[in-house]
Amino acid sequence: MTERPQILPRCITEEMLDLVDRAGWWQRFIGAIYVFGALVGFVLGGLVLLRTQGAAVLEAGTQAFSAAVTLVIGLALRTHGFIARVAVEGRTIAGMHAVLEAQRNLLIVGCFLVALFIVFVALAVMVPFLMR
Amino acid sequence: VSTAEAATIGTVEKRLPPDWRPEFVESLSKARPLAIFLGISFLSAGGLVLFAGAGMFMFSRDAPIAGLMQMLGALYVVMGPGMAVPALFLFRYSTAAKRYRDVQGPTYLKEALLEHARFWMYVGLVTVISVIVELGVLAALIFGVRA
Repeated sequence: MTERPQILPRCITEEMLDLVDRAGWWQRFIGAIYVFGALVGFVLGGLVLLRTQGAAVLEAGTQAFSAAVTLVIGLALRTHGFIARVAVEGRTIAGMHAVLEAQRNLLIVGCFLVALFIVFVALAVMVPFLMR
Repeated sequence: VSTAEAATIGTVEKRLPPDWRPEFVESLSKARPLAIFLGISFLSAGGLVLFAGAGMFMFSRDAPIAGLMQMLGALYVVMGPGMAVPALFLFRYSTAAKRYRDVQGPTYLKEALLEHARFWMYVGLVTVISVIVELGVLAALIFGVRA
């Protein structure tokens, strides 16, 4: 096992590591809920297909897509939560830098979700007009 | 030459405070516009949810399932302003990131991390509450259908 430095670099304080640890714990917790929710979503999609004998493909497909997006978010949150834990245990500048980069990555995921939502709303508004 | 650019030049690096890291500044600076965009998105979504809830509450009195519609409307009215809270944390995060870049003080890095932790705590609590509400609605539907 590698030795962990006990003396912190001057740019990092114990308080900062505590905050990173707290945020990481919440990220892992929310990620676990999302992953579980996604698995339930996949099962429900499968059940819809089985119960309707394949007639409700669109509903099952929507369910599966939503579950897949939830799974990606959940796994991203879990990964970033673990990055935070490793950074807190490592107590290095590189670790703290990784945490800040991870924060940025999660914000990118958030922006991607907002874009996805806008596209869906635009489609929902446009499709009825195009179908006429 | 900006402070971040100056920090990358070896000769200038010695003059910077030892508790200020250029790589931290770079990460936080790149995260700032994203945080602002997400904050604005949260505010817009909150406004939409608030108006939709108020509309649902007021104009569903004659609907066949008026009780359920009004309950959902009231829930949306509560949820709308609640979406302003994460936006506030994100705006504070971006402000702290800007100050860390400009002032070069470690206090602002701590402030950014604090807002980040608060944001995730809030999102976590909202997730837990929404799971409980969803399970409650599911149970009510199952028992309602059976009754």
